Amino acid sequence: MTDRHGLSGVERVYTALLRLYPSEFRDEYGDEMLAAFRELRRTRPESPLRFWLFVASDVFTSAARLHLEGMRWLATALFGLAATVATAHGVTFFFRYFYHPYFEGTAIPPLPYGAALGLVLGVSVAAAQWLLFPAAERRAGRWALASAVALPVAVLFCGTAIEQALDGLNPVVVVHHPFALDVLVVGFARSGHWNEIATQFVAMAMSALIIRVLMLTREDRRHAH
Amino acid sequence: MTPTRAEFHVLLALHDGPRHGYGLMQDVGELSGGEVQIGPGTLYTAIKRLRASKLISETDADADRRRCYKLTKKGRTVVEEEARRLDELVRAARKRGVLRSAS
Repeated sequence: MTDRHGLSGVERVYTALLRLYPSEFRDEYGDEMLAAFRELRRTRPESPLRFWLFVASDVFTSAARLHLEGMRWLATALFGLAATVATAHGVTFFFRYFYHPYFEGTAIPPLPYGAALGLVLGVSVAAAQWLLFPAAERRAGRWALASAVALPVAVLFCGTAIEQALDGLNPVVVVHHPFALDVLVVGFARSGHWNEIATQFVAMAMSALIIRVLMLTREDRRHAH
Repeated sequence: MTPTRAEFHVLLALHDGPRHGYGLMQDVGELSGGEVQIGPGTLYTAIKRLRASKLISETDADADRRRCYKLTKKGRTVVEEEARRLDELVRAARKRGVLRSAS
């Protein structure tokens, strides 16, 4: 006996089970899975109980895996954020003190400063994530890349903005807000240097992207040989 | 990418040529001597991951208009590398007496 969609009772049960999968997956493969289920039911000679046990365990384990994979993206993103914050702190400090003996009291033009700092940070964050992320996660680009770019841009821009506001474009003198997150909090209230935002954003995004492209290309080449 | 057991079986089944979903389920059962039985959920989860990793791709539908999948160049490399790795493991196991030599 079939319903108005031409589905038998057992097919309706399987269609209901398909609702356990993420909707994107169901939209992409639901019809094919139903067709495969139909064939499977026709060809497997075992008892109905054994058949349904097999089908149910297949649905539950694969649906659970897909949902967990969805959450792994979130875990990747959070880990990426943590790695990014730690790297941003380290690099910002290093950059300030590295320049200190040479540039103390000198007004460094904001664009080269922003570009250089952005490049250094982009490379550092990309390298840190490359070292810290498991190989399987390195291609999980959207979240990781977003976290690699967004937070340091905000932190660094706000750092530069507050430094410029306080010390007339000399980034190395400032020790009022030594931690990047302090700078972030204060910087939001006082930022307004959009040229520097754009420079740092472009420099850092470019360096992070270049590093990733180079590393992924190298991996692809290795697979090709 | 290191394929899971189900993914490796799917790649192996596709090594002979394009297959549709149900054909893959049958092939996996045959290739493993009936030891590995995968259902539609496991199969299409594997297909989704393999497509995302660009190891397989969709190809022309068959006569019954079923979607078919084929190995990509990268997929062929991965399945051959994985087969070599497993072969080396089996040789090592034989050498240490874990497995008795077939000969």
